[in-house]
Amino acid sequence: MPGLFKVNRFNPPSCPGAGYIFTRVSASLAGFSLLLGTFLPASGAHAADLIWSSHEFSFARLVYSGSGEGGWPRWQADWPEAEHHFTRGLRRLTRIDVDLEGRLVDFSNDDIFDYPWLYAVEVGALTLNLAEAAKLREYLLRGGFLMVDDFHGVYQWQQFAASMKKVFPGRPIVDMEDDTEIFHMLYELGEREQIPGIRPLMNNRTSEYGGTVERWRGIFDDNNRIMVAINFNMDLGDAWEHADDSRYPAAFSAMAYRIGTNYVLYALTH
Amino acid sequence: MLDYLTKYPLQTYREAEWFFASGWPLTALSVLVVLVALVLAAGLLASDLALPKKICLWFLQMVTAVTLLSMLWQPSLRVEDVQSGENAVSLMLDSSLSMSLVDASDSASTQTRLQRVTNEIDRTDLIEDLSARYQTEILSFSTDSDVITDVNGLTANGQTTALQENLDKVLSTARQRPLAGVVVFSDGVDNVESSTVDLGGGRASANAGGSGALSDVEAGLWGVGETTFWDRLAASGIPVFAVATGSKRIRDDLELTALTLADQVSSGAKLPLKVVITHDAAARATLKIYDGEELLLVDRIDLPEPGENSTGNQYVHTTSVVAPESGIMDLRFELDSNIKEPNRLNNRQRRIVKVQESSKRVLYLEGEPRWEYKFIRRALLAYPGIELVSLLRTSPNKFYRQGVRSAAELQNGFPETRQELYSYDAVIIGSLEAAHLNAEQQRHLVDFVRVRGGSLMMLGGKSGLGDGGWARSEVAQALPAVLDQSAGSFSRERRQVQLTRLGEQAAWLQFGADPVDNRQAWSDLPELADFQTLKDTKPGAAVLLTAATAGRDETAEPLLMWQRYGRGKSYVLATSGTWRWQMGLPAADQRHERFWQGLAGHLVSGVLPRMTLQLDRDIYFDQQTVNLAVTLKTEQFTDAQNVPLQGRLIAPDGQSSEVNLLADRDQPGRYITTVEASQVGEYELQVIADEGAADIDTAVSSDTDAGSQDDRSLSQSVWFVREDGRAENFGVRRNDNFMRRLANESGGQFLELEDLSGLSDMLRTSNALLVREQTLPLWNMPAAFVLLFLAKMFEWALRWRWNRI
Repeated sequence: MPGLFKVNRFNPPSCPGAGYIFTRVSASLAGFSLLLGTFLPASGAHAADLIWSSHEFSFARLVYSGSGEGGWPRWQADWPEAEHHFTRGLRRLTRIDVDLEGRLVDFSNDDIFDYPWLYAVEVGALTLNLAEAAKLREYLLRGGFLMVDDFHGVYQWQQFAASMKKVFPGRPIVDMEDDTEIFHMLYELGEREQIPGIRPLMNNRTSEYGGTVERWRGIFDDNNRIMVAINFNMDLGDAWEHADDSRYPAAFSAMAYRIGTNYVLYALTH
Repeated sequence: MLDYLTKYPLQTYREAEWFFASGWPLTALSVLVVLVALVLAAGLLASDLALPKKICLWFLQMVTAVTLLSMLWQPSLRVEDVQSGENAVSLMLDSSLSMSLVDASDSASTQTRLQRVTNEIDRTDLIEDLSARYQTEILSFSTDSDVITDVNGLTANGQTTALQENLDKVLSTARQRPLAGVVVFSDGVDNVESSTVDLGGGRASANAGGSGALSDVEAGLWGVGETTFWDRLAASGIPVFAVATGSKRIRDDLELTALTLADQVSSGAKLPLKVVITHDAAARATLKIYDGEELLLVDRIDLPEPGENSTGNQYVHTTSVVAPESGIMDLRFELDSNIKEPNRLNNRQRRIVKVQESSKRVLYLEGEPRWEYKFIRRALLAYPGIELVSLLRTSPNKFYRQGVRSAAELQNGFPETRQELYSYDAVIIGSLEAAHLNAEQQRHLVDFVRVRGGSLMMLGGKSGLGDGGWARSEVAQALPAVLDQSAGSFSRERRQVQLTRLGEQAAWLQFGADPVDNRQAWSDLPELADFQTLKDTKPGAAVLLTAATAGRDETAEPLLMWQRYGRGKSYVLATSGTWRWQMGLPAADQRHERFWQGLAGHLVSGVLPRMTLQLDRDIYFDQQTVNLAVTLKTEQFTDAQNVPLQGRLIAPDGQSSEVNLLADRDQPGRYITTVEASQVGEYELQVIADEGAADIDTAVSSDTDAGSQDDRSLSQSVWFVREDGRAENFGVRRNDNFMRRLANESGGQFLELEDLSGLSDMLRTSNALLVREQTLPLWNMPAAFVLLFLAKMFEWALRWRWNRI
């Protein structure tokens, strides 16, 4: 069912809410496909007849081929509610001209280069072939920014680090200190805490897969600018997604919004 | 024979006015002619001749009668004629070293240019001809001029050619004598042309180490302050007959004709160089550039056969070198080629460039976080000559600063005072509503361009240009475009950028090695992410780029334009979507960076600090007089008057001497001096303004002043080089343009050496001649008597034949 998810970008809505409705329908179909136990091949997650966004900033989510339990595509975690919530907050809190509809991009074509902001989730399952690694490297070197989120524990770290090794063989992943500029863009976030996913919270935990200590890491370019912001052992996507869920603590969502806002502002300024 | 029959030369008839000297009415003559015609006709009608024969005889009789009647009325010529010795003519012979060249184009000739001139003068007896009518003065000139009595034996050994200066002197003698014309024999090279630092109009002058006492400089020989040589030449009314000699093409010579480069460069920045090479044949050349003894650059240059991609026989090569950390760059340019050149002294040039440790500062005010902001910053980060200071509105009430020098800089937002704003060299305003700046800040911004001489650039955006209300703002007057006041002029519609013809000529918009490559490089760029329409461009604006919907050139609209406004420049870039060039092209592709670096360089070029030093030339070949002008501004960039300036000249041997600069009374805030560079080598001229003087604003503390060090220090220095034995090796090709201009501006004529025989006649038409009016009678002209005789002879011959005698 590759064609089912060709929802990367929309025509500017001919009537109010048309794009939104389309997205919601697509999301429902995605959920249906999940129930059926199908998953989306990455190559099918782009559209050829896409129209440019009518806004400056689009929240682009990376569609990749990794799959989770039951074979459902990992990239879909928290989608599309996470960006729906976050983009509205971003629009309200900043001067950024934010596209309220998220975008889906993959490595099968060059659309990715139209979105200098890229979000990838559950990257513990991210596996890149050489061509994909080369494209991601090129994307980042041109000035693109990648935020990765929602992966936990030693095994998932190793999986992600191996993928990044293919992208930048000689570039280390380093811990971002509290005084790193990205934590001081709009909000002063010198002190942060682990942002848990909703499932461990339901089980009175804040960690998953043994990843008890949150890590704020990054890959820097030659001018000491962050190209890849890595949120390890935490799940900002869930915090955005469940911002309207009374079971999820508001404090975590607030922190996730602030961190996300700072990341976006950093991506737009550095 | 013809002159005998017509009594006067035909030229006289062409120039003279005809009239009848008898004073009798012309109507009487007409009546008499008619009467005679009737009488003669009546007489012939009575005869029994055939009609054609009667007409023939009547015609011949009429010729006789009309001629006789006309002679009675005394036809005459009124002419203005030159009286011998009443007018003067000056012959000026160029005796500079370039006139000693033997042009290869003169087949089998071994004559020098000067010898060809003197031989032609002898052959045409020019001096004898002229002396018969005029007081004839012969001058040889190079650096100075001397009166000579004989052109033979003159040698061409002058080290410079001060043609304009010496011609000025000759023309100035028109006050004392009736100068009818000047004849200049030259190859058209003037290597001591008028200085760019005009010291005319009774300005001040001071010598190195001298007292600096004011003296009225002998500036224009008519005492006219601001006039140029060409103005004075045209105003003199004295025709100059420019006789050109020498070859226009020298195939076995390459010349490093001109270098265009800044005299200052920021530490670590690229120094763009434009090198003009004169050549007359295809050649493979190598340009080497040294800084002292260090080889910086080797460029291979294929010089095409003239006419192929070159302007005339001049080829322009652009390149760049990177400035070191500090100090000066002693740049030597050397040109080698596969041509065996007899003269290689014109293959070398030298310049000294000051390396500034500070950069030009650009303030970028942005109203919303957007990709253009990010990628502009990234492009300029790698450009050492530019320091980008940005103020970005991130949330409705918060600004994010980048590139500030101190915590205090811009802490209250956009500068509130002129002083703070003027510390920047350029201002960029992005997607920000006009209402964000109060009326006073907007006025400051206009004055930043008009008075301070800074550059202002406005970018397209959701809240930029017309959509930001700037069309109704104070700032609109300064912009090169009329903004669209209707809402929605900005759209995220992709557009393809195109170079205009002006854009193709802009050095900083060159992505390719040649025009074809360059056009291709621009057309290959990814589309812009957005575009903003403008209502119109202003008449003085130069549009460099347009943007069109892909594949539809007819939709092209102005994208990048600029204009001068007051002392500064203003720009509009009607998009915020050049970032797609960076994201759409390989990371190694530098076109986005080069565009922004070039644009930023153009923004800050010509933006002057408070004190500027200007020399009258780039290099002093065979010249030791150096003119310096200093322009000094207050922190408000008004003219700083009556400020004591201290100058110091450091000679090549390390000896320093004081230089006194004195206020130019014609231009407030300008100080001038002349120094003598008596040694060959490199000199440094330092100037320091007394900060304690009343007219200079007090310097602000360093933590609030964002201005560059150079702006605050009120101290500047400039370097120059003097070299001897070089001037006459440059510009050795005959300069027809210069010679033609001499003739055209003065009302004279341009002549080839071969046309010299006509010169005497040309001089007679000179408007500057002192002439007398003469009446030349024509009634006794031999031709008239011959006509009478022939008419009667023919008539009687016919009568005899027709038996009617």
